[in-house]
Amino acid sequence: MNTTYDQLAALIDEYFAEFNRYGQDPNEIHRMDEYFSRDFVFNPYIAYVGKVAGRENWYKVLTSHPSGIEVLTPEHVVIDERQHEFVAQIKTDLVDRDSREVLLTKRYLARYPLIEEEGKWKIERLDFFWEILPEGALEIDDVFQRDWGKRGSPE
Amino acid sequence: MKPTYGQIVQWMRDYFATYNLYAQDAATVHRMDEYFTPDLHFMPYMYVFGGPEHPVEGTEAFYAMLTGHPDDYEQFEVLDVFVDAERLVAVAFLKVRIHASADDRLLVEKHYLPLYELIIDGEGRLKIQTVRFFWEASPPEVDAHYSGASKGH
Repeated sequence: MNTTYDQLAALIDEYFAEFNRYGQDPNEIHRMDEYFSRDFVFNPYIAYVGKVAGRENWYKVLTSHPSGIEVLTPEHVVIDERQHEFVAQIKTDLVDRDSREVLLTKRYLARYPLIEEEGKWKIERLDFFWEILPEGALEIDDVFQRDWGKRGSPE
Repeated sequence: MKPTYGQIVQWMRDYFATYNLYAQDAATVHRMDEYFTPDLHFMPYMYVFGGPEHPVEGTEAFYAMLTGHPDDYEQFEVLDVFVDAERLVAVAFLKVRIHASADDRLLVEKHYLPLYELIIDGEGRLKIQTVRFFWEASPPEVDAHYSGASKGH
């Protein structure tokens, strides 16, 4: 499938906008099928954080923390049109769903290899690095635990 | 004239080969001048190096950091290079092995994902102007030890 640089740039813009609208809402999460391949893998380079295999399992993780919502802002996007991949440095604001207070802000750097599926480019894998905050700082998992604590894990 | 995709990939691979040979030795670190602008910005996205609010500014300060851990040295294996030739940005996916200088014993393995903002300088040469540096989050005690935070470096 021939795809131009500008088409990939448009797809990436659309992906982040749709993620912020629907990517953490259990009623709307399947709108993200447009962007994640069926066999999607989340591959974090973070100690004690495990890999997630399969789109449905990934959706369980994304919708497992309803009281804290990640709002993603891509700050630097690197589009490798030859290899059909992109890399994004993302500013993440973790927002309390009810008060809309920003609880913490940190940066991610993520690599997204794409795969052709159903005639579209979709994200095959997310190789995920994040900013490492000082020990004792409020972390994303501290916020997500508010929801996970009720059942002990994202699952 | 803007370099091509293939030229940037090769230049980045040459950069890493040169880094492995010369960048951590005070006697040879200036061979890296070929790759960095004098006003290089190094933005570390990890608290052990001060975090992004405390970038290392300028090649001399960066060289002091690179040559400031004589007890150990790092070797880069380039797993992949991604290039955006339109925006002059490259990202490298690296496997990094940190060895003890005294006996070459392997101390730590981790992955890095640095992002390099490139420019063409006044003489038409490709250079790295900004490094946005992310590394694999190992257990905190490992990162603190490797970064020198626990050794007073």
